[in-house]
Amino acid sequence: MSVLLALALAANPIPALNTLEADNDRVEAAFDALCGALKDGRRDGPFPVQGLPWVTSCSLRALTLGPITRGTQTAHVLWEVEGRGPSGERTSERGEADVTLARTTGVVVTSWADTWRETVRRERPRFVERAEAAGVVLPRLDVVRRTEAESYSGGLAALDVTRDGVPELFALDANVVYRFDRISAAPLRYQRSVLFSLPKATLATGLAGGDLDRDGDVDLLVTGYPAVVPVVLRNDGASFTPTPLPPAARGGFVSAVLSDLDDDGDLDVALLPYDLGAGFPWDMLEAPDGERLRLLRGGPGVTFTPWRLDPRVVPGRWTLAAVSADLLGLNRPQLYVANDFGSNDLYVFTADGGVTNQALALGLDDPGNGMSADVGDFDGDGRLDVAVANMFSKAGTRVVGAAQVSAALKARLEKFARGNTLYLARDGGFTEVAAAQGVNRGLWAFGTVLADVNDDGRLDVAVANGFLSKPNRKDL
Amino acid sequence: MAQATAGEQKRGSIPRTAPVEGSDDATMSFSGWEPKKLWLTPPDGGQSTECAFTEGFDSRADGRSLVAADLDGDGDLDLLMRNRAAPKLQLFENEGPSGRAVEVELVPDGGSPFGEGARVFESGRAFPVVLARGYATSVDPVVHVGLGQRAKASLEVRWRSGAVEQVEVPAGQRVRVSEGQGVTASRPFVDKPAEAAPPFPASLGALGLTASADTTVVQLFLKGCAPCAAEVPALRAVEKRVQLVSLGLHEGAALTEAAASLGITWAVSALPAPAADALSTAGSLPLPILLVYRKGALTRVLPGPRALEAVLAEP
Repeated sequence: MSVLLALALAANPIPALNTLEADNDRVEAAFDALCGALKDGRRDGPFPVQGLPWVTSCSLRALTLGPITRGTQTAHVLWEVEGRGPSGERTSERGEADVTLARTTGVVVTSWADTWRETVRRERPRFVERAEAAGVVLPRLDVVRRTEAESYSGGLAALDVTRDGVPELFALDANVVYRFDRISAAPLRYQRSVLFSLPKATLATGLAGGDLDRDGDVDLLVTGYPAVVPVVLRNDGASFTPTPLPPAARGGFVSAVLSDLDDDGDLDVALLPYDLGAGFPWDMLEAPDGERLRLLRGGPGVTFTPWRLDPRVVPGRWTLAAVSADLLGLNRPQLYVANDFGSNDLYVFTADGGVTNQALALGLDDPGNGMSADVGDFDGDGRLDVAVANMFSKAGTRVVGAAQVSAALKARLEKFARGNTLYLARDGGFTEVAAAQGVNRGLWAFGTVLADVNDDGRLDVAVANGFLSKPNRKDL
Repeated sequence: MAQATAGEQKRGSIPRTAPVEGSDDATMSFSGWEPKKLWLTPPDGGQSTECAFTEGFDSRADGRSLVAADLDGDGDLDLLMRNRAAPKLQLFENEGPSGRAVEVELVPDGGSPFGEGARVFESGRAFPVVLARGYATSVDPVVHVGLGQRAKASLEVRWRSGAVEQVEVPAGQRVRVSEGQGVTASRPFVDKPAEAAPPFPASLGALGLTASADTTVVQLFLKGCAPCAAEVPALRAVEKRVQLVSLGLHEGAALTEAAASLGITWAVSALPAPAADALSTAGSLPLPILLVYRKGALTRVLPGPRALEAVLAEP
């Protein structure tokens, strides 16, 4: 189960939770054994994948688990099997099923009835992973630095800073901003260099690009942690000149977003605060104890002044991401902010600096563990929609389903375990359709982007996910 | 192409048994080893289908940031992912059969640079000009418009000034649209033919072998591969019931030397390079591998001999 969900449940006690979970551990162990046998090559288990010669991955988990009655138990399971077909074709089989388990001795699947099933085959994959061949690798760090960097560094950018139509790549690690210049398109090859370093005791977290000095090329803004004044790297053509933001901008930020929010022609800065070292908030379902978003209004000559924000409009949050786009058709962008441990925000700006939060009114508040956000016209109706990364938890779904709590709390917990959200713009607001569209189960999703990867005219959804992998694959 | 390794080994890698860098072996995962997700939306807008594995967006690293951009200039979107730990960067080059697309960059007449915050419309669809998307990710303010099978894009730019401008752009190029001036620069996408896929060893013939029994078991091996050595007793136990062949990732004298070092005493030959590539994932051949053929056709690929007897007992 998601630890965060477990903690949330602990804060809102559910009778007999421990008993249920102890029994589920036995069921999960049995399911893992079935998957292990399938991967080993056996085809005498319950999975309906007889024609797959090579199973490379298998997952079987209960979404609901009934009580044990006279030695039997019913469950609704979600299963996924991946592998290669007889001709080597990549094959994914997944589905949900109602199963019956014999529980007299151990856990034995005695019946299996598919309720939904999907099979996908591809003769050859669209994508081929080539980072190492292309020279897109980061140097090794020492153990101490590596551990810190693994927790805090995540920034990535593809920005054409040379204005030649070819994006350069930027990746942050520890306190360093690395730059990758393309030296060959076919085969794809890059040359790495160090672009900039923050002080050694700090960590570089995010890199935002935009024409801050309005000279026609892309400048950069580097954020850091734990207490760093973000630095503008002004693009002078041949080099970048570092210029720190005003001292008042000091802080620990996961990243920044550049956007001309007040429509004066200069890019403004949204600094996204998340104190990665602060542990958990006291209310993980609607945390009020995070830091407030920081906005700086950009002015001529790469100057910035703090934007005065009413704390009733811009509350403390645990902010992980934001995206700026004209969602409302106002000819100026709004800032959609994805927050961990609670609701998201949609800030709408006026030219005089006025700010309102219209997320709740427009149905975009998305209570959950918001990890990232993107915008695009998913349904092709000429209006911009919003995709938000959240957490889908099979165990959380199962536990919440069995919870004896108030209807309101149960609904909120179910939302937290449901996963990614997709809000389609409708007249007067937004409607959430991720589960209906089949794009909610992104697991512990971080970067979620809308992109038409097969150029068929429809936006697809790509998800980077996974929190912490250890050699011991048993999950917390 | 499967990844070359040191010395005489052409291809392949031994599974890591050492702890992942920077990790504590005793610590359990926490929503770890998660498969990435890629939902493709059908042209009719129906329910999306999860295709990450089948489309090769195939990773169990702890993903954080994700960029979708045309990195190689061929007009389709590649994916670049920043992970928490090694491999910290993964670049998924898009080699699929792409449809038609155009990319558009804007030059406004004043106002926000690069038209940030403006919108481009094509066939009723809206495309935002943004500088950041997803998690801790910054991108060029370039709009990518997939066209399906259409040969041109009829674009409408709604500038932040309120001006509206229409341009037509043939598929297959990146254009610059300047406010009030239409298309002021264009460049065709790079024609980048996809490499031919190596043939999968669906039959014994693809491995250069001929069936001499109803059942053939083919072991793949590499010098120093402890899991390969551990397979040997189980393989010896079936040696008289099947045609048994071991294919090494070596050639010449190194091949027989490697086989001997693992205790392999039956027929040995070199694993054809195309077969190694076809069996590899992300350039890595996940040894140990046993291939089971019935009458010369592949029926099972096993990650070791644990289920070998059960598989051989199948009708």
